[in-house]
Amino acid sequence: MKVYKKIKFGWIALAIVAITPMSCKKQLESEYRSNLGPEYFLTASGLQAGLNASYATTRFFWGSEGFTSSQVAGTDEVIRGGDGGLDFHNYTNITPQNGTIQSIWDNSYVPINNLNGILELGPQANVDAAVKTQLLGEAKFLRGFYYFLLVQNFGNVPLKLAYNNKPSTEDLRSPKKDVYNAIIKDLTESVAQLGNIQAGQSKGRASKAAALHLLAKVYLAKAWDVDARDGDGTADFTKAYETAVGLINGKTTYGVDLEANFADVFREGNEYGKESLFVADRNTDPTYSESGYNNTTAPAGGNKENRLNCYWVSFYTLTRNVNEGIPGAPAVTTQMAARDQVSGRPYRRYRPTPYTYATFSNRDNDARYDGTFQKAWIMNLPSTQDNNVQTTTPAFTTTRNGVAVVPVKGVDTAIYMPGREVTVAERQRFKGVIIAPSQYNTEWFPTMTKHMDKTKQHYNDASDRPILLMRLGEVYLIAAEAAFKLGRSADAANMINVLRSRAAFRTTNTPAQNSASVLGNQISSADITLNFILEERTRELFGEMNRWLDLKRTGTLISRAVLYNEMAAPNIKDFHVLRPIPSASQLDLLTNRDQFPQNPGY
Amino acid sequence: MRKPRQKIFLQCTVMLILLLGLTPTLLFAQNVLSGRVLDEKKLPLPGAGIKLKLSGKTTVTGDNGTFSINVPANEKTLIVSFIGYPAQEIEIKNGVSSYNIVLTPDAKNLNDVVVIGYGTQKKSDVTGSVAGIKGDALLEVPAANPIAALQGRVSGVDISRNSSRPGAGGQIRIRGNRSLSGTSDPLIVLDGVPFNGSVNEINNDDIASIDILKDASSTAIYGFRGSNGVILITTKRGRIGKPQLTYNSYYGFSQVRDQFNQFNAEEFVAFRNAASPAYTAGYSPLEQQGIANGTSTNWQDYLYKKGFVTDQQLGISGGSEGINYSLSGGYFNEEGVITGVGFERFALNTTIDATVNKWIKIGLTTRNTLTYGSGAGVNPLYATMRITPLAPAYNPDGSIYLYPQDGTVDQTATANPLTLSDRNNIIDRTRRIRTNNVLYAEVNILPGLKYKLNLGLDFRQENRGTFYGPKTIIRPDAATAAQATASISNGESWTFLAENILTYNKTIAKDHRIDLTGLFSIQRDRGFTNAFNGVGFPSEAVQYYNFFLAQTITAVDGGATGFSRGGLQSFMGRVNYAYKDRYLATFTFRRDGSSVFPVNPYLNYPAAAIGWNISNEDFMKNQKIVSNLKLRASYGVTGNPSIPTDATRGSLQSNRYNYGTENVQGYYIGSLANLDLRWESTKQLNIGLDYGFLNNRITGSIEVYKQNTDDLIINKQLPRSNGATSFFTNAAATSGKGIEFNINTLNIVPEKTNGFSWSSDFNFSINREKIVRLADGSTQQDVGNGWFVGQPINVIYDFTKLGIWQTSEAVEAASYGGYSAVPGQIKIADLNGDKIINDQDRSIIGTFQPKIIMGMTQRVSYKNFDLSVVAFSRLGNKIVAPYLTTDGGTSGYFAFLNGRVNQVKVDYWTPTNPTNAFPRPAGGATSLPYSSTLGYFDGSFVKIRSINLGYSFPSALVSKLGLGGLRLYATANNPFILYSPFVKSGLGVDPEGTGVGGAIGNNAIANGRAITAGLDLPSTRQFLFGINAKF
Repeated sequence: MKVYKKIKFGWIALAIVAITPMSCKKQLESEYRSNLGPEYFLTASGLQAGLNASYATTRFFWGSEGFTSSQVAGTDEVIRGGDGGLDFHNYTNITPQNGTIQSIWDNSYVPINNLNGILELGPQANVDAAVKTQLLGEAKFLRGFYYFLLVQNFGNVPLKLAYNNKPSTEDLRSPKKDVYNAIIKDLTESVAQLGNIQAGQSKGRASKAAALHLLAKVYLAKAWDVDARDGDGTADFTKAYETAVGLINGKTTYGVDLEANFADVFREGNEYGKESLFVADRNTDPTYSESGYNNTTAPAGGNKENRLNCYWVSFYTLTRNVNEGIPGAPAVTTQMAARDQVSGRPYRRYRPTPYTYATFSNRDNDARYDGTFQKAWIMNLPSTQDNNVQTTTPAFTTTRNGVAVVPVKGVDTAIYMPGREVTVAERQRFKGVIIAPSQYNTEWFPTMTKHMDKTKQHYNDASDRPILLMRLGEVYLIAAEAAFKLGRSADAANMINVLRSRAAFRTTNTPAQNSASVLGNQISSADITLNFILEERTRELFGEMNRWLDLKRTGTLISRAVLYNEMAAPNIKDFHVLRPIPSASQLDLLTNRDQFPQNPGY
Repeated sequence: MRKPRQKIFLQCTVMLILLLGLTPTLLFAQNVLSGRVLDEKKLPLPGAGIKLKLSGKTTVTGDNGTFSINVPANEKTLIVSFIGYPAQEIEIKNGVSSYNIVLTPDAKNLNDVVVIGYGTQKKSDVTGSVAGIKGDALLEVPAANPIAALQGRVSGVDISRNSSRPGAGGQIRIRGNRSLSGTSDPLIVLDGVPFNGSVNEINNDDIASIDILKDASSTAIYGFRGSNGVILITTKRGRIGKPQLTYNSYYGFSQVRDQFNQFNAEEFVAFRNAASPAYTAGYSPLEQQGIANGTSTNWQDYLYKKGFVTDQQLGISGGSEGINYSLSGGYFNEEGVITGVGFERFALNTTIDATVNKWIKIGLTTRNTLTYGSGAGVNPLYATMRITPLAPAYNPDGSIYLYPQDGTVDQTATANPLTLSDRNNIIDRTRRIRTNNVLYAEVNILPGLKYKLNLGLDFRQENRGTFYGPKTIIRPDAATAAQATASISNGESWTFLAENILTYNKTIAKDHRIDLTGLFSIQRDRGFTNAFNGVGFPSEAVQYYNFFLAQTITAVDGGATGFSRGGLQSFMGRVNYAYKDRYLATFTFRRDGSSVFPVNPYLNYPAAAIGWNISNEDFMKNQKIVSNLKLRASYGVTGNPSIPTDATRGSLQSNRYNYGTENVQGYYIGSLANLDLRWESTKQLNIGLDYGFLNNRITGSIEVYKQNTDDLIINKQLPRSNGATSFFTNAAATSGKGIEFNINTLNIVPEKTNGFSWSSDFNFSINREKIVRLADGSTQQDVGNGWFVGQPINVIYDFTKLGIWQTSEAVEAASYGGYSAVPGQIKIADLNGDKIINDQDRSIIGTFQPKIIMGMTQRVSYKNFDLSVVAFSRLGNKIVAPYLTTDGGTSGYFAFLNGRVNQVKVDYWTPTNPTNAFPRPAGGATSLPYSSTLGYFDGSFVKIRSINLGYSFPSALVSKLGLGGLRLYATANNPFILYSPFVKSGLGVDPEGTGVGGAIGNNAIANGRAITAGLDLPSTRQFLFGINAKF
């Protein structure tokens, strides 16, 4: 019987031996291969991919119609054209349900949490130290960038600086001051970590110059805001001024400079030019730039395409009496131009207010009106439909001094908007049709050309152009505004005069003519007022999607909208300086709703 | 050749000597006993086991049921056993040396052993709710897989068909649904090893029994996998006896039960005319010709064919002292009623049980299947039914008229269904290989103490390839091979299981029986799938065999592809206690740890149950009416294992960006991690009563239960300041309650009626489930997901159709805001009376939960004939017929009631036919507003599932043929629908579903959980002829 026992225990031992290798801990380890998880940010490629995604979020904003409206409409500069949503123009539907505002909220917090993940996991990643410094610097830049967007639009917002691995249905709004301080900390560190711009570099990536630009603007915004600033704001205005001037003075080091010719700043193909600091990047690859091509390819993500090339275009293809303003000539109503690549797709969402036209006052010495607006539409009829022209349309005939005239295709100007009133004689002398400011309406107005795209594949396509979000020109205006608030009008005038000197330059002028224009375009410290600075911003930055926040920052949104915008005037209220916290994606989902107040008025 | 043989002989001899040496030899005086073992029909039972109770010595009956055995003088009892019969103890009487022993089948026997988790139990000892069915009873419904055969056979188990395709399984619900996002499918355990994947890989013929654990006390030993119930499938094994060969076979054919009613040519012309002038295209030249020629083509005639089915099973099993074995091979083939749709299975199984010595037993089960499914993605029903009846099927020269919609906008959208026979251009093949192996070792350590090691290894591989070439009904729009599409997917997965089970049973002081089970187990799973699509092949000859030749290849993301891995570690303990066979108690505790939960992987599942065998009480001894009465109660906690992938970890999503010309991919955190996520858990209370009257001629049980499921996982929306839109969390709750009843009666027993017998089984179950809580306490409804507090999980939330607006109601019809209708359009109820028809007017108008489910089996036998009938019924549930709705998209019937194409014949409104059934064709517009309301029907039915008539040849004749038994039978599967309002209406052919989901969206039905009776392979009627032979 002993033998049996040995056998018996032998079996048990064998069984135990068989199981032992399957250690307990190993059984319960997780293994993921189907999808990537947050731990991907511990790798070099993961860090970069995380940043890429956080940059890409800018495409939800710049280029989309809703966001563009929220940044330009309802201000002194822009009024609605013949088409498009009314919400931001007349302030009637700025509600917690507004989808555009919800998108600003939702789509800012996504990259913020992503960047929190990168900034938390990145320092442990096995990446070359120099590369890591640059990457984490970019991450800090972007986190500051998105928080700045949030704090300007919404005021107090939840401030999250750590990766969220514990989803919660409770949240609180942090004071603006804390948010601003966090932004300034991020940007200050990113200035130290980021590199200078190298020649030919894409501006879709943050640089030291971009971080300085943003930091200066953040100081400026903070300084204006009585709830956010330190003391009376002097310290913050000073920092804004010093940061801006530091960038200007060090521009060679940072790899930036002003363009000699204002019109070159937004010249198609020059998006990475020397004045450009930061862009929402795009290229001609429809897949990666997520913008529609050939009028058929739906862009990936749909709402991320860049349609800025369409929103500002007037309805130049509308039929009109070609003999309007000429006594005795027959009324001939016809189309004068076909939709084409050069003049763009007439979405006519935005048109300039009379204030805007009036502000571009010194047009002889200042080339910025001509550098901003389209004045002439070259004859493109008769046309045969192809990728460059929309319809097959015959030429038109005008009657000038009793004689039938057909403007020559490709040579003569079919439509001309000189930006001033004209005499009958001048109309008689002109083969095509002149539209003077008194004839402007919701459909007929000069097209703002900064975002036009003449090289896309099809006349209906969205744009493949990167969108300039920061440029050196604005830094002078930031410095000027800060200087003005510090009571240093002379410094402010000096800054503005740099831009005005550049604005005087025309390639068509002789050097002597240009020098004369420079003299005729200078200002003195006596000219410096807040209104003047805001007008200068219009002249320099019209259409660059800063205006709503500029007016909000300077506390002039309500007064200037009432004064200059006939659509906004009846409805705009004091509380409109902040956007409502979205209800569907934030307030309704909170379990501590009572501790998370809506902005006043909504 | 000599030497190896000698060697084997030598080895065998040595082993034999060893075995004999190890067996305690008893040197007592011996008698020789002999006798015969007969079955209830007095037919000999060859292969029955004879065992001496004291010495454990065994023998087996021979061909004619005879045996002889040497019996030591002190031996008092013979034990006779045969599978399917209760073991019978025969007292050895002094001086009697010949015994004729008649066994009676055990169908209702209380000493019957039932399989419970990690062991077996005498039925009279069971305290939980366990329902079972034996293999023989299962075979009364010949079907492709056990689940299909189980329908209507067990109370509390609702098997709703969700596909009419060959070999399709079905949706199994044990005591209803519990989970919102997770599965409500039960756990299937095959020979003790959890079984993943297709039930089609289990051969019906190999099944010895199916036991279904329903209450929490029974399923708690499966812990986190137990809340949806557990189906234990036990397969046949060899038993002591000389090799026995069995051959079971059937062959049969199937045909569609009914065609869908469609408009014939004349009716179609009337229908299109009624749709005009809203339908503007008129008649194509071909159709005009058809009208002139009197063409009226019923396209379904060219679609269906006679299907066939065959099942061939060959098995051999036997055993001798120390070693039992069984081998079986099976072949099943079902060809559907549409060309190219079918299912084929090859199966090869082996079991070996080797008793090495008194202490150790080792065994192996290996089960291998190879299946081929074809035509999974081939469904030409809709494409066929839309073809105009005015077009001919053939050209005058006899060739196929390829595009019968010639000259209409649908010209290239439809091809002749006869093109289905183009087997080079329509290929859809799924091949699965599965090998499922269990190796065990059992060690008897001390009397009553047993250790068992189970090692399970299950490996499966699936390969699917499709090729849809040009000019067929599947790809009519593809004119050339370049437009053909092909796809390929490959996946494999394995499961490894190691279980250490320690059992101890002891009877203390005669009256206390204790049975202890302890378990430590480890399970690992791992699998992956890759899938690719290809377009642009140079020639259709390539099919899906060379993707290099395709112009474009795209990898398929999500669903079909990916990687999965699971790890599970469990501890379990169970105590069964019985006092005097009267008072029973079971306590179970299981602790499961899973790799799904990174932070705290362990969760506990306790359960307890008590039972009282009232009939064993002394006060019950002196009566004859009640033969069995047992009251049971149990309570326990179980879990649901389905957790969405990455739910605890969070996952990244991708977007795109570029830096100048450098294109880059971006990744951002899409879903947030929830480290606190837990399994959904169900608490269930069960009270049951088992009864048996009149010497168990009437038996059965009644169960009532109540279950509360909490911590249900839902994808909850987050305030976006979290940086993500949603996360998975345990938030919702459901509850369910129900009654189950079954009664089995031996109405007429053969002894008294000259061989005539009649028995019946009947069961019904009622289950009511409802949602108790959604995202949080205040959320009363989630319209997007179709969940409503207080309602069953799967409901229909839609507008209410009152009828059709009649001519006289024109003013009223036009008076509603939101939906200003004209006569002939659907009349929708303005529920809130605000004179506007909008989303506010939706309400819950039905549920897919049946009010009652019933099943019935009747068995009659007379002499050598046997007849059984199985009936099945679900009552009070809704179904959706999507082909009677239109949404212009993919779900409804495109251009339904539009006049453009043919369709199911409906009673449509015209000014002269003021029906309230269906609206005016084209409805005065191009789409039919609110047409989803046309597709809901009462899904109640009573069906005869199967009628089975058999004849067993007399044993004398059988013996002459050299056989052990021979039975011939004929079966009709799905012969009649006795009751179905849906079928009666003429709008459909079968009230059982053809799929899940696929109904019109618009929140009418949530989430594709609807059971739809759609345009898929129509259900069939099958006639089979079979043979069961034993050698």
